[in-house]
Amino acid sequence: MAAIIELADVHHAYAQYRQEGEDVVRTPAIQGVTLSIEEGSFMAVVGHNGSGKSTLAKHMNALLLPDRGTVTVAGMSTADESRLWDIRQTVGMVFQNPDNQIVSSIVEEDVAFGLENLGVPREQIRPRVEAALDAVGMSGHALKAPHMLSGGQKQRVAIAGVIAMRPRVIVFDESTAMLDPAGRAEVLDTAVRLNHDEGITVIWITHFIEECMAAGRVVVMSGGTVDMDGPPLLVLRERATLRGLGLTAPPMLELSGRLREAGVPLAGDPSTLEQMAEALCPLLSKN
Amino acid sequence: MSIVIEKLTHIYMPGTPFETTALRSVSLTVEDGSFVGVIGHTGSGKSTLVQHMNGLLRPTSGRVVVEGIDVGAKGADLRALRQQVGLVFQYPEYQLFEETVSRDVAFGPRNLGLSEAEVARRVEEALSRVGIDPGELGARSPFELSGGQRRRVALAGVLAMEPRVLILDEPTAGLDPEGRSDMLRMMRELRAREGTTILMISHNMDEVAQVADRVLVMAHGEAILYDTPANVFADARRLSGLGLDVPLMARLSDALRRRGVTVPRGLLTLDAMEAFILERTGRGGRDAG
Repeated sequence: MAAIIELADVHHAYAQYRQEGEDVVRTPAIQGVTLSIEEGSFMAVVGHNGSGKSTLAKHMNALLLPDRGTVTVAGMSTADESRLWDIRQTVGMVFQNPDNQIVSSIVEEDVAFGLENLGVPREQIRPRVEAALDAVGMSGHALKAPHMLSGGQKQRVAIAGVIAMRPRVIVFDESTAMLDPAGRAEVLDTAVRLNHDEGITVIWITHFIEECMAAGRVVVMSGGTVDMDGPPLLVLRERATLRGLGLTAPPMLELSGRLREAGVPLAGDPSTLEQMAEALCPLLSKN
Repeated sequence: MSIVIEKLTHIYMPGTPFETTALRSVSLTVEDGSFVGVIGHTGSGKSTLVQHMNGLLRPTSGRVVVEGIDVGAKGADLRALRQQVGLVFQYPEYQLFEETVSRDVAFGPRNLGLSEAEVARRVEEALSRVGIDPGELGARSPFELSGGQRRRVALAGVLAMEPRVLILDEPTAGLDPEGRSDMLRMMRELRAREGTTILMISHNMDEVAQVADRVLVMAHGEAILYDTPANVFADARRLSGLGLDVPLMARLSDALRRRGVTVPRGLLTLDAMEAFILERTGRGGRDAG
């Protein structure tokens, strides 16, 4: 499969302006990231606060431009200002705070907002809004006021607003950080379904490591560089390396790692709750 | 007895078309120095309940007595009450407003009319307690700090009042895993060192299982269960009927029981589960912790 986004040796530093004097302190946020993201894939990016993961996300639709290196989206360089709107239509973003992303007082109007701004003809807007709400399971709420919805539902409305623009890629920038466990599951399930059913490429930025189990590929960042990159069951099993990066493996992998280290002969490779119960059963029912 | 609640009922906007009964005859006692996890679905009444504990709301009927102060009584000394009971709202970092970290933390104690020396002592102590170095960050603007640091400064502002009871509404929401475990550790230390009574509202059952010694389950304005974590989380079916989760390790325990394995109650954390498995498989060299 072809790459939809290519990052080559991307560097970015934030300028911090002090109150007095003109001396500008530049804080490096990403330092030499090279990644090739395949179309149709589901890639999770995990790291603790300050690891550079959100800065990376903002490079994927030209919200930030690299100081050095290049970002190419569907063949377009993000540095090419004339392609800005094409890039933003190709790569949609869903942010952290649902309340900051909703602009209208009725759900369906909110979803239509982007399309109206693009000048999509009226008769096309309605079916696209309906399809987008349907894709996130929010059709029943089309006429509701957004403030009546739960956090997870608001995020799904925000996702519908992005889907209506028919992007090829959606970047979720810590979209579950402010939600309760039920809301987090709702939003992650929606992303998995969009990837699976609609073939939308998903880039899932998170600090909840267990969410990475849903991805096909996990990139672990720290100090502005990519430290680990591979399938979740390989990457997330590296407990010592993860700990060194300020992260803990997902609970079932953590438990199986600890038990193996203590010499418990766990069969198979349990990574889910049911697999773990299955593997433990013969060991625990003997005595 | 830190907090005694008897038949507390609260009705919002009584006598209007918007009349809503948020609490129905809730009775419970919170012992001095206990750590209570408060769980419940959105709209279950948990926020309404805790707002009675520092007098932000008054009972429609029933009684709330906190540290000897009857909250609903005429002429109740709410000022004294609020000194005793610190309430940390959700996302408290949005409420920081002063120019420097130290001044923000000093705001409450200064309003108590304490001497400048006492204010300074409290600010220093509160900041140290939340892991913020007063010398390094005290003179900085709160808005230059990271989200996790700002949350801790907001907590320090409440701790500087030296409350006997601390109520926190979702104190770990939005924090990364390191920030979460820091926050839980600070609460545990505070309770161990000062004997502070703590009530924590949370949606995260694994966190509740880690820190609480009592769990209060609210639903439809009623206190449905109020018991040890082991007993509350033993009834997974009842909780899921209320739209609530149980800790992951309680679910693993259930999955094992369904396969005929005898698993004791109250294995709620990864450490406890690990210790149990090692012991049962004859590898219990490690301390159960």
